[in-house]
Amino acid sequence: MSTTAVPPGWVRRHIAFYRAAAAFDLKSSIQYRWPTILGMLALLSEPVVYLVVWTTVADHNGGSVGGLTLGQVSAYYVVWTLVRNLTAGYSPDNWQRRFQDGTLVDLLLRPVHPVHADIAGGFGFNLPRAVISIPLTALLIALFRPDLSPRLLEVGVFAVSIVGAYVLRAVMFCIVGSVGFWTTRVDAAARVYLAIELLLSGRMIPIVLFPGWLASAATWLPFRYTFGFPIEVLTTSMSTEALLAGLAGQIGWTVVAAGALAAIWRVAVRRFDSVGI
Amino acid sequence: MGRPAIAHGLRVWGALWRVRALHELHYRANLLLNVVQVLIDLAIGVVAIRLVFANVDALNGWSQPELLVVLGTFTVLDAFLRAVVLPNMWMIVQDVQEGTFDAVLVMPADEQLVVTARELSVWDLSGIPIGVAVTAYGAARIDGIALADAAAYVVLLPAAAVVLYSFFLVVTSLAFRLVDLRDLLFRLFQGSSYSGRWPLGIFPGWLRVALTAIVPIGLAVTVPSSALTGRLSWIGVGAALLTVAVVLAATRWIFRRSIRSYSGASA
Repeated sequence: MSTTAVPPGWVRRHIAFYRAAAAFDLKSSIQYRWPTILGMLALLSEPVVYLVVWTTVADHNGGSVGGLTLGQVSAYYVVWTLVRNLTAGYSPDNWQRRFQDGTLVDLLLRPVHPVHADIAGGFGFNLPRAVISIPLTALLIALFRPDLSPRLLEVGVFAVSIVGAYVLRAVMFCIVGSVGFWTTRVDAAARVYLAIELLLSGRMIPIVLFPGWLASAATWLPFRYTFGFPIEVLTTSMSTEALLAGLAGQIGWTVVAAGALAAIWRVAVRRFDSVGI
Repeated sequence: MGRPAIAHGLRVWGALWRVRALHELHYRANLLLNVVQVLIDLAIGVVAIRLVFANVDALNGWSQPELLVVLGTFTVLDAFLRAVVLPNMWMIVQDVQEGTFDAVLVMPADEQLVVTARELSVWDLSGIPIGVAVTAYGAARIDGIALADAAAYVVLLPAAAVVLYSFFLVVTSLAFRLVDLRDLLFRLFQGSSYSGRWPLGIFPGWLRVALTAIVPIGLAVTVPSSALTGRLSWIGVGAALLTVAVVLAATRWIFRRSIRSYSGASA
């Protein structure tokens, strides 16, 4: 990842790399189709639990909670399932294995930054998940009857924001994974990051239900753009300005994260000393 | 299993954990990060409970201090899963994938014992005292907890840990047929860490069945919590312990059958 002018052939080389890496992970994902399907079914427990908890609260509270009706709560977590499945990436604690068994060397020897391998691989990895997500989402819609009636513009912005959320997450994961250049072990740092993301992204609780100060913090931080924003695009009536501002925020945070990663990487690779095989 | 075999097994277990503990103690910074992570997880749980009780007085009969007991119990069991169960299950999957499971089979000790005790993520145990403290804090705010309820909790908490261990070992045994189970294990653990923060009683019947039979985290957290909050009779305690014994025996049978389908492929 370079911060200087793009050299000739850079774009063509990267497109070719993305196609090859995505195809590789797609084939790998199809090869291990049963673990993929079972993993996706296991993942369903998360939104269903949140959905049941908050619809129970709404039920006890006269049909709404924090201004959200039962149908809106359902909509939030149904769309959540789609977002969660489509933004799955190379988790930062997997970086630990790259350091421990020495496979990071292979990635460093390639003429592209490892973050591209992670992003491209995830595109391939998530493709079967996207296909399986369609009947899963249909099942959740039939079970929980969400209040969902997005405009065409919102569907379009949702599609773009999903890709943005996935890329932002992948870059953030790579930053957290870079901790391994100093500590070799990454798992604890990864879990701290994922715990903060869980709270502040709107993944566990819709941000609109947070107390004021926490909602303000979540709005200004990057985590909301990985979960909350794409979900809100489909489940709330946002103005065109708000939709565009959200996309701009997502792109802005991705640029900031990519810049931070480039800066960290320059220092980090200098101190890299390979271990393992 | 005779007394010498049990003594031998305990010696093997002790030796494996001692080696792992010495290994892990080199990563001291992980203690701080693990404590921070447990505290953030706890904060998330507390924020969720506070948000719920900002809107209602009780959630399907469970009060705020009672949900703190559930959260504390979950934190203890989550720490057990992270420290003992998951690292060992991860290792089985890795061995099957790389064809190095032969090393387990040729060890002069019981295979199930070896695959259960090879790994120990010492710093993750920090969640246990934190979880106990939260449970005690919640329990202290509940009126009329009897000594017998507390005793039942002390007995049922390790039993719940055994159920979770059994569940993850049975799922991991699928690796001998499906090979790459990392994603499934990760999702199951993640799923359990979200559903385990709430008592089974708040869920509708079909989800209660799923969180009992398919992913038993709901059962594992709710049964001890119900005992401490006076919701479980002594017959219930006895039935729970009997179930644990059956689950443990079934798990051993399934694991031993599964390793028969392993064919070594290591270099």
